[in-house]
Amino acid sequence: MFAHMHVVMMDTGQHLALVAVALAISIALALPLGVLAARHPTISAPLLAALGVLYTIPSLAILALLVAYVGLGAGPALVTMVAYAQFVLVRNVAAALHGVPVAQSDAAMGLGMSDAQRLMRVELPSAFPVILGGVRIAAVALIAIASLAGYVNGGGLGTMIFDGLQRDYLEEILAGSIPIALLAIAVDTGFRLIERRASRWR
Amino acid sequence: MNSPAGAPVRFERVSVRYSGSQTEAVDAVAFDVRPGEFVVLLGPSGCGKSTLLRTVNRLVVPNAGRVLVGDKDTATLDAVQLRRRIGYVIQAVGLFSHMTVAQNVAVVPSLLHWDRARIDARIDELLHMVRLDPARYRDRFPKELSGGEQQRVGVARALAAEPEILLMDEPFAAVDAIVRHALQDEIAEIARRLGTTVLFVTHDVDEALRLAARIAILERGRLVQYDAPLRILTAPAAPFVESLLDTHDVVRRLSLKCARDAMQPPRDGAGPDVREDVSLREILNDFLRGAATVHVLDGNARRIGSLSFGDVVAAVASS
Ligand SMILES: Nc1ncnc2c1ncn2[C@@H]1O[C@H](COP(=O)(O)OP(=O)(O)OP(=O)(O)O)[C@@H](O)[C@H]1O
Ligand SMILES: [Mg+2]
Repeated sequence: MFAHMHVVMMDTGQHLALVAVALAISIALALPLGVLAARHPTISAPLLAALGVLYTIPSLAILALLVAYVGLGAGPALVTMVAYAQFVLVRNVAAALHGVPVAQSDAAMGLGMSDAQRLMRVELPSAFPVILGGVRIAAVALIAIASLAGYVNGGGLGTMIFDGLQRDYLEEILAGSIPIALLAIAVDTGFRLIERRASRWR
Repeated sequence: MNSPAGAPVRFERVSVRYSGSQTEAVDAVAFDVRPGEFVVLLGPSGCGKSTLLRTVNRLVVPNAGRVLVGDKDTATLDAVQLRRRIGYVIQAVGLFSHMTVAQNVAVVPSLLHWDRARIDARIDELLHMVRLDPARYRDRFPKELSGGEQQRVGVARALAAEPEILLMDEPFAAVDAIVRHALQDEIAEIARRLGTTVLFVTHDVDEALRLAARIAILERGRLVQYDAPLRILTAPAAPFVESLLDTHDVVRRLSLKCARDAMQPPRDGAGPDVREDVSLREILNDFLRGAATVHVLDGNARRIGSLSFGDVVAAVASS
């Protein structure tokens, strides 16, 4: 197993890269969608329902569908991951914004902030620790889902897991799954530390 | 500091009806507030005080009528710009919990792009003004403050950019009586010194009597009397005003206390003499006849103290 250490390291790097890219895209999408959902109750219900459907469909099914259309590789894996994370993140961002005390939004308006200033200077910073909690949960879930990339030639630690399963080779399965577990624990712990620092004022 | 003169405010038959409601929250209210005047909006819960107040900074838009600030119809002004000229203190305080005291106070100056040095100097000046030691309080977060300290920061934040008008919506409701009296004295003094026009909402008659140059009394969205405190006490214009005074027991408390209880050390100045055991209620008549000061005599006709209307109100309000 130690002979394959560099393979494990490389796969772990790829795995992290998949998660990081998927998370970055997910956040970039979920922030505006979450703001939209929080500001407009009429949009919120159908939007969350649609994302909920995506969330309920097993990731593997989405992935299989995507592969059928666009072929193998990291691309379909990333799309699957982003689709899965949207429900968690959008709902979380909307809830975090709803949690901002009305008095603070009211004061922000009364003091002469524009809508954008109120969002950027008061509502998002105030909601930040809660949003960070959602990002942590999404990140941990994405570490697990990223394994599917290995199934479709997308790289990452899943490669060894699926290869090991096919060859009925326990050590290879472990070489893939143990780092995944460690990654999940490390990322969770890291986010919790950041969350604590970000919540100093709460 | 050069004090900016407060702006006048004029309500011209202002009506507000919230969507989905059958009745007007504010119903054809009309009155004038002079530059630098301290006006209290008084009335029971739900009578439309907050709604009327929020028409001034256009957080509420009237369905009919006009609100003029500094002789300009607010409907013609940019709401965001208008609000930066108007300080606003809300009952729930609404300090931004992720910002320090200093950052909270600096909000409007930084929206106005003041330079850093000017903002820093202003923060210290304001914290001194509301009697919070900058060295101790600047870098605290709101959760590290008592209710009274939060209220003070709320006032400092509202005053930061030297507003022409200060809107205060039950700003001291959440603090105990002693702190409330201290804050009332401070805000009255600050407003007088800066020349700021103040519109102050309360449902507490004593607070209104203590602070107001004039009191606007609202009943279910309508203005029932707009007058100086002394006139409200002595010439209630409607049964509603009498009952408002009754429920706060003001007249009885005026009857129970006498000149001796309210007097301050003897002052110079013309004014009628009263015996020390005369009730405060009777003394109001002297003020009504135009006296600014009343002198208090003991049984031997020696002058032992003097009284202004403010002293009378302070004496009954402190009970
Ligand atoms: N946003 C709103 N939407 C609908 N109705 C409202 C809204 N705000 C206030 N009202 C109603 O308008 C009326 C006046 O409310 P307002 O808040 O101005 O009263 P208030 O005098 O400030 O009362 P309080 O002393 O309880 O603060 C009330 O009947 C209230 O229920
Ligand atoms: Mg109110």
